[in-house]
Amino acid sequence: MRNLFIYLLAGLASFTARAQGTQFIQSLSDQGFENVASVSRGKNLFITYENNLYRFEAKGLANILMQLSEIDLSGYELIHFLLRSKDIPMAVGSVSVEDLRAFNSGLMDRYALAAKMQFSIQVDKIEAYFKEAERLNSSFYKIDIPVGVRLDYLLGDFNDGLQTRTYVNSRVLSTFGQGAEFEFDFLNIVQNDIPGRAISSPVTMKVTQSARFGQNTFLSASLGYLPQGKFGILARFRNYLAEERFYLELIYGINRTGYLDENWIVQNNRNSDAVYQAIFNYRWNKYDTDLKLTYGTFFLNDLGYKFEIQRQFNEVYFSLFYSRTDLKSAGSFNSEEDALIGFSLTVPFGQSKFFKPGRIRARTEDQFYLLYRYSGFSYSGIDINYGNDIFSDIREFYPEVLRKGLMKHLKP
Amino acid sequence: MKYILPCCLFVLGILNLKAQSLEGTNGLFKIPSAYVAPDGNSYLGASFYPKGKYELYNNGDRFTGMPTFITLSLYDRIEFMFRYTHQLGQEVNPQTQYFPDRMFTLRYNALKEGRNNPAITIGLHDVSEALGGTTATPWFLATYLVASKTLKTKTLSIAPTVGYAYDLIEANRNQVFNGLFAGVELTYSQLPYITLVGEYDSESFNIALKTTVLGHLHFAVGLLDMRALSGFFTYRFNLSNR
Repeated sequence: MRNLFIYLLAGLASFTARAQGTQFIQSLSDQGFENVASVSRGKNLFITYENNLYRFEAKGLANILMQLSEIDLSGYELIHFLLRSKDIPMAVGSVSVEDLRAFNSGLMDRYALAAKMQFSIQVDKIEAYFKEAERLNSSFYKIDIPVGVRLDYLLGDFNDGLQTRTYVNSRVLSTFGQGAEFEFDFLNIVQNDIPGRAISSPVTMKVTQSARFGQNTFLSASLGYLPQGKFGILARFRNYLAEERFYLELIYGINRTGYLDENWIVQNNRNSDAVYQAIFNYRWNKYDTDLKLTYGTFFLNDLGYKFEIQRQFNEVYFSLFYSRTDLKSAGSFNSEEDALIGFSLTVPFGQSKFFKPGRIRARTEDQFYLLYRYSGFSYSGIDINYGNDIFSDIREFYPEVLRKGLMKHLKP
Repeated sequence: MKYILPCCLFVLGILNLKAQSLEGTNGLFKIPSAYVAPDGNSYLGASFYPKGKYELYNNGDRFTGMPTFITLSLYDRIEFMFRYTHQLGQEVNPQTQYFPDRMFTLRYNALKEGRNNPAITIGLHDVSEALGGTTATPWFLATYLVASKTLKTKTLSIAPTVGYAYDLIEANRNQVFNGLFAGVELTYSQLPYITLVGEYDSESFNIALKTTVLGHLHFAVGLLDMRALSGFFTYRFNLSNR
């Protein structure tokens, strides 16, 4: 009789904990997390979600962990998270209920909790659990309007030592299927003292389909008016090895050069070109550093290579590069090989937490980007701008970036 | 009364962290030291060279120089600096053919300071052309080896530095660190936020006083060649979690 009473009590506690888990999923959805679902398997609770609420992925996860540490999870031993982007599964993280309790009671600090968590970009097994799960708060058919600032500048003109052009850009982003996205980007010039053609006009109007296949392989294909005045198609294929440590990327595109004028009429429509690149990247996790070697054609179809070392500090990226390309290979220039060095800096911009996603939402852009090329008059080795796709913020899902981000954003 | 000293120490910065120099890299007053700040430490700063101490495009000694710089430490070993220097009062136009100088500096800390050994760093000052910049103007090009060691007693911290600059890459004109340079930083333990500097920069002797405020702001004022007033300030911020 006594044993039966104990079993009943344990069963009731487990039922209560599972009910709490269901309420928690609803709460995440109400807060604005999207594509939320949960599944139980024995003493494991699996939660999937997409964060379009916080600018930085680790901050979103930290927020969820802090909420989770405050509810009764007595029926579970392990909680697993499957993080999504454009509804594509990107990374998994696991934490034990015991560690969450210790964190909540102050027995474990944020560094220890983040260090004990398990992360991986291998998602296939856990994604399979959610095949039949009901999703709350779909991210599809919503419109995001990020507004930001961009800056062009020119140094070295003897008539005017520092010439600048400032844009306020407004983008329209909408996901309408798993990995399927529409992007529109309008640049509005608000200040300009750089000579030459410059008009406020659309600079991107494209649809992109991104997908993830087995063995950590990603593919994205964009079609339409691509950034940098290109009309055509651009495809990217990337395969990761040993988690995020290595990747090989192949890029191929066919496009024509031109632009939309202020009346949205295509101008300067010329030169059908094939664009191709091969990229090999090694990730030094201890210091969140990418060592990247690119070979292929660059913005002006100049053939050559570029070596880049990029250090990531959570949301800040600092990059040093050296490139050598043959501008003559592009066919329109007389110069021979041209080498240059430079650096770039990407810093977070605007809100760190956005408004709750709705049918239409205005928000600030995620980042501000500054590029310095030592020889600004050379067109050699300019990077291809791919626009928004699955790779745009993929580094936020890297296991070590999530871990270090949690160390910063978890609060007792 | 018992709170006054701690409060003062807090305001002035309890730790007198290794700071930058007039040149923008980690150093004493003008000369570089072998120390490299921990990973993620970044410095935004500006310095002031009086007339006669900063020359560009053979403009003689008519202008003062104001380098502005951003310096970033990576991997606890590497220091990267980008510097943009104006000659104050000089006009940018086709007649003067003057344009402010841009330069990169890279430093690699080959040996960390140990109990019995100094820190040793290799410096590549203004190396843009050597690395492939096509319109580079390496007016301040220098390559050097430098060693630093901090010795502490109960009352004093003594940090001597000695280095040698050599022509690994040919320069337009050597204006910095041409040959032997050396210096020493002295910090009294009761005044840890103030450091006295004496140095020989391979051309002249300089003295300076450096201080740290709130752990992030560094100021220095000194005399180049023991007579020309000069100085700098930097703001330090940390990009890493550590």
